[in-house]
Order: sequence, then C-alpha cells, then structure tokens
Amino acid sequence: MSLEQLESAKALALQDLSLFPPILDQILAISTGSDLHLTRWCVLFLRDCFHGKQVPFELRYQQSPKLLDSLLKCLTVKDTVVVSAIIDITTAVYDLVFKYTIDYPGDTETWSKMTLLKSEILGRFETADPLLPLNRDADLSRSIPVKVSTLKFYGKLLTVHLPLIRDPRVKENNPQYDLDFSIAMVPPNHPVLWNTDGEGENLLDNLFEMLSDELIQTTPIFTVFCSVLVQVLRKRPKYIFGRIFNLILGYDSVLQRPPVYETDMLKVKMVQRYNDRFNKILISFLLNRNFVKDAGLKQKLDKKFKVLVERQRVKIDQYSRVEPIAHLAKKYQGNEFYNNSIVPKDNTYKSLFTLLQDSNALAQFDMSTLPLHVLVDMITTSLTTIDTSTLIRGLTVVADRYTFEVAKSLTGQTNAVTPHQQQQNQAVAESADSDYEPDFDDAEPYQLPPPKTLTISEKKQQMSKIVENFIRLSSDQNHNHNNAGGADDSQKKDFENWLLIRLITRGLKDETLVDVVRNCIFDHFVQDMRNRIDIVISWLNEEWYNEHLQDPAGSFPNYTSWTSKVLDNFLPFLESSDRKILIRFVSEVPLIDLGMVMKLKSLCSDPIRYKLGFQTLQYLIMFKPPAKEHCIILLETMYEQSSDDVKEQCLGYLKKYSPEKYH
Amino acid sequence: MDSALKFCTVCASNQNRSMEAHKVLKDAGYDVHSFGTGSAVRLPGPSIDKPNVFPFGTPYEQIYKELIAQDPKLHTANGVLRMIERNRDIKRAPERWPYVGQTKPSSNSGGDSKSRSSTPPGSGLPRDLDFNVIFTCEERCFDAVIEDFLARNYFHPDEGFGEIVHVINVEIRDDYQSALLGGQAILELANMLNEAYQDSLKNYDETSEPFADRVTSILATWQSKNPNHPSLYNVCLN
Repeated sequence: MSLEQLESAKALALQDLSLFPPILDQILAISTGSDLHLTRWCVLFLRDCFHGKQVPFELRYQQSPKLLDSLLKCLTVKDTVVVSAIIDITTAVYDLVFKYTIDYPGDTETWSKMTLLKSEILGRFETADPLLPLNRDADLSRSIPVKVSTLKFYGKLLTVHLPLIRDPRVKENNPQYDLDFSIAMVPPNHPVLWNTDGEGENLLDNLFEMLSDELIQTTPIFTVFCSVLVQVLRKRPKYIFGRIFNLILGYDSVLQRPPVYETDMLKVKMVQRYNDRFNKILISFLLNRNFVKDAGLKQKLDKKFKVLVERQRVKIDQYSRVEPIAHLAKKYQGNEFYNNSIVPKDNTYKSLFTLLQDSNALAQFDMSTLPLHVLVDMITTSLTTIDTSTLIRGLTVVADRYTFEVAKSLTGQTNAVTPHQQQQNQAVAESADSDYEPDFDDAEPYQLPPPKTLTISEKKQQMSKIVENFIRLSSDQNHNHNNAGGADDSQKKDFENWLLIRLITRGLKDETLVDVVRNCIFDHFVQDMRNRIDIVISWLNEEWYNEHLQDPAGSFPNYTSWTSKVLDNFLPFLESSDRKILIRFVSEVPLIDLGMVMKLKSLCSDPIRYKLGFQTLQYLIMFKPPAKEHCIILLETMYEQSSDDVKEQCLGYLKKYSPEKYH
Repeated sequence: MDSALKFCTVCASNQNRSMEAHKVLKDAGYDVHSFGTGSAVRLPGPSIDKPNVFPFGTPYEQIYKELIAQDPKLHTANGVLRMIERNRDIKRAPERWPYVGQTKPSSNSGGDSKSRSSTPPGSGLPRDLDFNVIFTCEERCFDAVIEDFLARNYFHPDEGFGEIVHVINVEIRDDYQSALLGGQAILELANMLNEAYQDSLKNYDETSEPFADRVTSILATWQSKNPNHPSLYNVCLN
C-alpha cells in the first residue's frame, strides 16, 4: 500500500468514524511490516488518533486494547522516530487500558500485555536504544526523543498509579476528574489489578533514583524531567510536592560530574549553567504562582534562588571548575573505554576492534600507512606498558563483539539484539502470550536443505579453479623453498605433481572434467616450458601407462594427441642451446610414433636450429630403437624433398644408419 | 524549505532584536514567527524617563505615523524610524508572547498569524506555539518563555502532544547595531541547527543520531565562536 492510499484511508477514517475500527485494523497490520516508511506513517497516525480529542473518547477506549501487539512489535524497530511515537501512543492509551481492565476484570491478557510493554519501555530508559550503545555515560544523553517520551510515559504512570485525591472545593462533576483514571477507582479484590498498590511510589522512587545520579544530566533530559513533574504536580500534589522541593533545593549542577569521555569542557560548563538556569526558573515559577505557603520553605527557596542568580552572573567559561579529564578517567576505572558497545557498528574490522569515539582524531587515522617496523615497535611498547586488567577488559569487549557477530551470522538475523534485549525477549517468550512463541516444532529435528547439484559446466568451472589453485600453491611453495632446496621439498613437489597426474589418468571418470585438468597442466607448462618439462613428461608417461593398462594391444589416442600437442607448442620455441631439454623429452616419453618424429622436420630444415633436429634424430636412432625406423623415413623424405645443405646432411645420416639402401 | 525547522524569535517589545532576527531568518527562507514578552511595546521617547508606550497589536504603520508626528528629527536620529520601516515590511504589528491564561488578543493583532493557525482538530488549545526552536534575545525573555511553558504544563497537562521545543537564549544588547550583529549570530546558529536537522532526516537506523541529541554540541561549537552572546538552553514540552 502506498502512502497516498494510506492518507486517503486516514481521511476516510476520521471523516466517518464508523469506518475507524476497520481502517485501524488494517493500519495496525501494515505497521508491523518491513517497510520503515510505512511503519513511520502508521505509528504517527496512531499517535495523532490516540493523543488528543480528534477521535472521541469512547472509540479510543474501545479500540486501545487491540493496539498492544503492534506496539510491542514496533518497539524493536531501530528508529528513534518510531520508538518515541510508540512510547507516546502507549502513554496515550495506558489509562484507557487501565480503565478497560477495571471494567472487564475477566480479560487478564490485555493487562499482561500492557505490563510487558511498560517494562520493555522502562527497561530501555538508561540505554541508548534504538541507537547502538557506546558507554553508560554517553548513552544517558543519547536517543533524547525516546528518553523524552519515556519521561512523559512516567508522568502518565504516576498519574494512574498514584490515587486521585479529590479536592472537596472542586465540584463533583468537574471534567478534570471525569477522565482521571487512577488506582483510586480499582475495586477491592479486582482479579487483575489487586496488587497495584504502592506501584506509583515505587515508580517515583525509581525515577528519582535514576536522575539523582552523580553524573550531570544533559539539559534536555533534566528540563523535561522537571516539566513532567510539574504536569503531575497538578494532578497528584500530595505525592509530588515534597519531591519537587527536595529536588530544587538539593540540585547542584556544580557538584555533579561530567560524562567520563567528555572532552569539551565548555560544553560541560554550558550544561551546568543551563540546568542551573532551569532550576532558577522553576523556583520563580513556584514562588510567583503562590504554590509555597510555608514561610520556612519560602525562605529556603529564596536563598537558593539568590545563589543561582549570583552564579549565573559569571561568564560561561569561568562557570565552574571541572576536574581534568585524566583525573576522571582514573576515578571511574572499569569503564574506561568510550565505545564499549558489544554491538559493532558495521561489518568492518575497524568497528570490531575500536574502543574510541568516532570523532576522535585517532579513529580516523589509517595505521596501515605506517611502516611495519614502526607498528611493531608501537605494539610492543604498548604491550609492555599497558595495565593487564585494562588490556583484558578491552579484549573482552572485542571478544563479545566477535561472539555477537558470529551469533548474528548463524541466526541470519539482521536486527541487532543486545543481551539486554535477549533477556527481554526471553521474558517475552516466557510470558503467557502465545503470539510471541517462536514458530517451530520441537518434535522434528531441523535438517539443512540438500545442496543443489552442480551442472556440468559449473563442475568444469570449479574443477579448473581447484587445479589452478593447486598448481599455483605448489609452484609458490617450490619458489619459496628454492633457496633452501632440500630433498624434502623436491619430494613434496613430485608428490603434488603426481597427485594431479593421477587425478587426470585414473582419478576422474568424467572425460570432460579430465580434459579440464589436462588443459590446466598444459597451460601451466606452456607458461614456462623449459622449467616445467618434468611435469609434462610424468604426465604423458601416466597417460600412456593408463591406456596401456586398459588395452595393452590397442592404440594410445590420449597419449598420442597430447604428446603431439606438446611438441607442436614446444618445438617452435626451442633454441639451439635447448638440446638437452629436447633430447630428454624424446628419450623419456614412452612412445615416439612416426607423426611425432615427422614434427622434427621443421627443426631440421631450420637454417639456425638444424643441428638440434639432426642431433635429436641421431639420438633416437642410436638409443630408441623403436623410433629408428620413423627417423629413417623422415631422413629419406627430407633427402628427396630438400635443398642442397639439408640433402647433404640427410645423406650422411642415411649412409651411416641405413647402409643397405644408401652407400 | 519544506521540512526545515520552524523558528520563533522573542525579545521584550518585538521591535528591535526579535524583528532583526525575524528578518534575517525569513530572508534565509525559514518559517519564522516573532513575539515580545514585555507588558507593552516600549520605544525611546523625548526623554529617558518618558518612553513611548504602545499596546501590543498596534500596527507598525500606526506607531510610525505617531512617532513622525511627535518628533521626526529625534526618531530619525536615534534610528527608531528606520527600525519600524523595516518591521512594517515583515509583519503588521508587534505581537505579545501568548501567555497561558491571558485573553487571546484580537485577530488584528498579529501579522502573518493566518498562515500559522494550524490548529489540529480536537486538541483543546490552539497549537499556537508550534515551533521547533525558539530564540530569545535576553535572559529575562528566556525566563518568561520557560516559565510560561511550565505554566502550560501545570494548568493544561493533557493538552498537546508534549512535543519537544528547544528554547535558546542568545543574549543581545538592545540597540540597533547590536541587533544587527545578534541577528547574524542567530542566523549562523539557525543554519547549524537546520543542517543537523536535515542530516538527521536522511537516514533512519541505529547509528543515526536524532536532531535532539545534537543540539547541545552544536551550541557548544557555536558558543566558542560567539563568546559575546552568552547562551541559555532548555527543552520544553508543548
């Protein structure tokens, strides 16, 4: 569905409210899809509908329970806009679902979903979720829109879980009270909500505990926190009043420490100044509006106000003395890496290993540009000076990331899951809600699907890759070991070559695959013929032997054709000095037929290389009797066809080796 | 600039500092509105203890005419007429900050408020402070704006969406020359903020910082370049 279609559906739903429920159902279904743009649109639509009075109360009240499944699912989307909107919607429907549960005590499921959603949201408050985590201090000032929404959610939770105390001066049917649902409405012995007493004060304690940290809160969080308290103050004065005053009087930005890795001291001083200013404004707000009746308290507030005004007079850069960063780093050991996230940012080695802040200049430096010996010096110096436990902590972070990546690739998940979320997911799985049960059958053991069979051309491709690789490795090794040159090396080389050759002749049944290997060996030989004559000789011998085994009396088609091919490629490149190589070749191959001998004709008639040709013929005649006859035929042919020089040479040999015909 | 940040500028009288900033932001193409937090518009008079006082909503044109009638030499010499000439090209009349509980000014008060009356159906209060960033030009005005937001939170806790509003004070002395410099400083900050905002809209994933996360660092960078305009910053819920 496109955004245009959604917009028209939205207009329709708000125009004719009887269509609202079915359109809502559709939008809920779309919201959990994989298209982030659609999810964003859907959650913003839901936020608009359930926040404010655009949709009448009765309709919102009826429809709110069906939102919960989608809200839970969308909460895991890695997008701050979606997540903060989800929390805003949860805030908007929390009291509606609470009222619904009071009205329908039989429906236990809805409230348990809401409870789960609540713990999911609150559990994320001190993390950077949905952003990737860095370190605790930094994470407390990241994902600010999500944290702001969570603080607003706290405001709603406090309103619901702290009882409304009616002001006897306000008329009974005041609209302010009509929509104020709180635990004051829960009948005794309600089967679901019976144990919610005291939850409000626990929430209040938790909230203040989180925010009364020794670490200074970033200004948006601090000011929104106080704004939310002011919102709740009107509704639950009895519970909030004292807390707000303690906060105001006790708050001192200068006594709080900056985040461990904050290097911008001006920024720290500015945050302190901003927070103090807000505190000052809050005091004047409370004093100006006559919230404070108690004279003693008024006096204390006045005093604090004067202190703050005085402090604000100094220039920002002299605002307060902040401890130097090195000192802080020592003070807060155990947390000394800026980026100790166990989730790497992306699939690079850099993000697997980095413990630095992205903006750190070192993080931008490419170490691989340094010469090796400098790097080695640096590393050894660092290793000798580093504190062992620090090193271990750093390595643990890297190891955790590695484990995480491995786990991720095994499960094929694209969404990163932190251990915190894993716990939560476990909690989800353990809850009674069957919608979140993973969808698989235990009885049937999981099996990998069978691999695809390769087509013959794929096989050929793979085979040539294997053999090329094999040859490359083998020749690399030989090359590397050339200097050392022991008996072991040459044996190993022989063994590897032998393996390949055996593969050709007897290892593979499929002739087309065998040809692939043959071509590889042949190509390998052609690249450096003088030095690779060994492997070709061994190969051709095996070819012959194999064909001999199969049919001792038969011909040797493979042997003959490949030997001829080798000669065709070999002979044109030989030089006069290559006598030894050529003679070695013709002596060591098992069979020389007429066709092969005839190929020597080109050498014999070459004005420069003719000696090479005739010497080879002489060698064959003298030491390879089966080839003698072929050689005589060649000599005779050349004697009849050639010009004077060659004719004379031939006649000399013929007189010597065929004296019966030539004398 | 369809998806640019919406700005608001605030000073005491909605005459000099907020109007100069209004002008430069408007000229730069931003959606901008301006207010004064004082009780009335105060302009220099014949002597230091006799300022000219006009109620908010008095059209700039009318103020101009009255001042010319009063003493054209004086008001030309002190630059007030030049300032009002500039203002009347921007909007009709100075507007008072819409304090909660204050009776709504009559419809002829504001200038281009028509374009901004985007009241979403159903919400109780008009969403009259629908801005992403509010620049105040004096600490007193900053305090007044924050205190008003706290009052809105207190008296109408269920109104609005609780949208984030960044309120930033850029301290500017109230004279013509300082207002020019201050306007440029505000424009520089607005551009930095808008650039970060546009950047935050580009990617949605677990590594892209939302706009709100970036504001404090931007302010620190800006402040180090503009030490003569000490800043203040709070976030309010609208």
